[in-house]
Amino acid sequence: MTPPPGPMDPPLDPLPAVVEVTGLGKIYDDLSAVASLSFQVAPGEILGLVGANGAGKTTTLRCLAGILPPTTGTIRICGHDLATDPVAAKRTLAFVPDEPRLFEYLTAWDHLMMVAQLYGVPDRENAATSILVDVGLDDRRYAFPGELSRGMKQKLLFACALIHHPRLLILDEPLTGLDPAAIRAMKDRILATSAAGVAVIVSSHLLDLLEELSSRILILARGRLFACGTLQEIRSTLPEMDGNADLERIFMRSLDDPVDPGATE
Amino acid sequence: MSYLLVTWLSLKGRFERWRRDMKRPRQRVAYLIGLLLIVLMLAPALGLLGSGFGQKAASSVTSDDVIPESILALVLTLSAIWLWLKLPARPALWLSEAEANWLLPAPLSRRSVIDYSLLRTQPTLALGSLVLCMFAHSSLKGHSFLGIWLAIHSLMFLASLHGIACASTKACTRALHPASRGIWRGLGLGLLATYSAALLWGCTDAAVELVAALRAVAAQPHQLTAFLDEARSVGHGSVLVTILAPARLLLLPFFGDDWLQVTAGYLILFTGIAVHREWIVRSMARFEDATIERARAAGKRGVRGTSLAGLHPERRQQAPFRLPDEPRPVIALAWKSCLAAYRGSLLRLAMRWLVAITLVSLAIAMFAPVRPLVAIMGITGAVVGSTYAFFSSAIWGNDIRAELDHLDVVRAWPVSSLQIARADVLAPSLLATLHSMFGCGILVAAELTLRLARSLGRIGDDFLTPSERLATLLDSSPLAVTIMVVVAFAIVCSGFAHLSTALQSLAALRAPGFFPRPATAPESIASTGSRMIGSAILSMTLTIGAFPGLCGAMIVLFLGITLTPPLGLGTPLVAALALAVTLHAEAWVCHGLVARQWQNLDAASEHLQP
Repeated sequence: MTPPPGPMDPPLDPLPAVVEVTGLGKIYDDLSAVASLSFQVAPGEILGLVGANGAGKTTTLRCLAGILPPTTGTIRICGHDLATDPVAAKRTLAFVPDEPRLFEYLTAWDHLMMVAQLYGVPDRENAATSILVDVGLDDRRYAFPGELSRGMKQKLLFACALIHHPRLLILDEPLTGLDPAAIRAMKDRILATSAAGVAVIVSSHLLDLLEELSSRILILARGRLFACGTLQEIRSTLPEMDGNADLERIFMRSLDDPVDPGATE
Repeated sequence: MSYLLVTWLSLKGRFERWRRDMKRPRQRVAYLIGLLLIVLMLAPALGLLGSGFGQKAASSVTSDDVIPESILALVLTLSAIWLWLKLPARPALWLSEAEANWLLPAPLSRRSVIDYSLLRTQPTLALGSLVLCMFAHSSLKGHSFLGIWLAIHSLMFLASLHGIACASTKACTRALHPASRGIWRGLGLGLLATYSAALLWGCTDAAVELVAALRAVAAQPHQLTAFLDEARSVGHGSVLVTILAPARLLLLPFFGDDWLQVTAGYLILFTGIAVHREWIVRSMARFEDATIERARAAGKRGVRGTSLAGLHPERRQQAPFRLPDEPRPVIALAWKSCLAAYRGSLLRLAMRWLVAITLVSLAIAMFAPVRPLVAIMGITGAVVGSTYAFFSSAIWGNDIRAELDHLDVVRAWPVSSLQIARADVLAPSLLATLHSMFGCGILVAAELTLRLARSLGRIGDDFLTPSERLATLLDSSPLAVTIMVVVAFAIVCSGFAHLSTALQSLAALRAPGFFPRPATAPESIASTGSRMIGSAILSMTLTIGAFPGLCGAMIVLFLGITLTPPLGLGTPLVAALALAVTLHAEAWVCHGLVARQWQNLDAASEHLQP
């Protein structure tokens, strides 16, 4: 059995990136929501997306999920260009929006059956049962969205996202409106998903949680990249920050100066 | 004061919103059309108001009038009792989400909130009662328009109080004493028991007569017609009138014989309303949570989402059809759209309706007046058949408009634009065709009813059914004609349903203001006008779209009839096929346009705001 690589071992070849974003830009009429954004996410990595309201987080995530066509730049998911081969690219990703938008006339079970059929999941009934048990919704499988709490809706969305074993999971503010226990459960679920080799991009305003959760942080300020890297790497690019500056301080700094101070990518 | 302030702010807000909307030219045009529509609807009523005001009935109520009036009164009484017995678990005030969020925490008295909730429904109640009054006026001859209007409005007001009363009842009975929980239930059951006893007592004579008639039939089976006549005479006899008389008290404002009775009726009604309101205001009812929950649900999901909550567990597990094992995105989306319209097996539904229609047909052929009821069946079949073919997706709201409400989920799915367009057009049009065939089934049932009635001797032997008349024209058998009509109906309806749904999907993407989504559709005069414009555009486009097909069908019919020998039964079928092929071809072109429009939807559009 091969021992896991230790801290002194030579680094392994980096895995090919699941997400490759180059020069992403999105313009609404005369408003530039996102501009010149480039970054990559590797398998098993959790990228935390941080930014003030209106900084372009949701627009970026929607572009990554193929919901919005970018005005400029390219997005490649698992090697598939989202603009030229959208169906193949979308087959490998899952998107959980900020608002739990579920079809009000479908039960939890119907949602899973439909999504499984859309993504061609084999043995979908067993897969659905298994994932419902995992997220703790097995006893609510025939409930309509109107009968579920916000946390339960989030769980159902999460189940729908994971049923087809995506290679990229995009979560837009998944922790909003959840109670502490649900936040903890969601956090564990995200970590478990990442441990299984899934690349995760998650946006949130809960900075301490994001700091704890993310492998790397990407900070957006007014649609532009302010910083991207591990917390240590970001600190090193900001001379006025001491070595113990937390994400909240860095975030507050991004509000003062939207100009790119020298991102790590 | 605060109550007045809140009411004033609400009215002011509505006026401001209206003024802002009117700045847009499209809204102005839509508003004018909506206004025109309403004025046209109200004009006859206002004319009646002018002529009917002040005239009071010199009523001479015949026994024929009394029976339906009394039965109506009894139905109303029993419905009211049933409502009291079946109190909802968590009733709520009818407030919008914003109103619930602002009013309930505001420093307003409970009385103010309840009064506000009642006040905001007044314009709707007034309009509703005016429309009802227009229908009622023709059936309640000799009564003043204003009087009927007042009575209907009062009854509707009482009904709107009921929602609040339900909350109060539960809370009051709990607050008073555990034993008093059954007060209302007991009262309701007592009323039911009183009526039952009266019915039993009063019907004894009738029952004796009926039993005697039944014995006579058992002895001499050919006396069945005599027995039915006997039963009918018992139904129209004075016994039933006497029994139902107390129930007519409720409808005295409508059915009062003179001014004294009408005034007494109003007094009873208004006293009831006043007592009811005071009791609600003074009760300990808690309706705040339910109100917020309801307003939130209505705001986010429309009315449909809330109505599914009480669905039986077994029905929740049913689906119109089983998903295939192999991955087919179009089938998955169509399955979802079908679930929006109906939950359950389509085959089972068809069998259930088949049995129901057969029973109704048999009953009409054997017992009821045949010709008028068959005429009603025929009209119903034609209306159902055509309505669903043209407006199905708007009725169910399960076309691409449903996806627009979930845009950021649907657009992340690995499904091409063309697949989404196809699925969202095909599912409603398939369901519409099936429903249209249900209408066709009613037409066939009407035909069979006529034949059965003729064989039973209830209509003359010389009477020819529609299919028999057509068979004479086409030189064929009635059975072959019936089969031809059903097939042609299915072919043409599928074409119209397909094109109509495709056009509506395209219009919902191109001009969302005229074809709004059900969950986000505003309620206003301008939106009524917008819908009118949308319907007019759709009808015009459908007519233009159907024109080439109709021309083709006419040519086929002309050739089929003028050829020697004539094509006979095949001609209408080929004509229907020509029309349907044109409609389907045009619909397929629309699929492409819908797909392109879907692909190009951007956040700049009003569907997906950043």
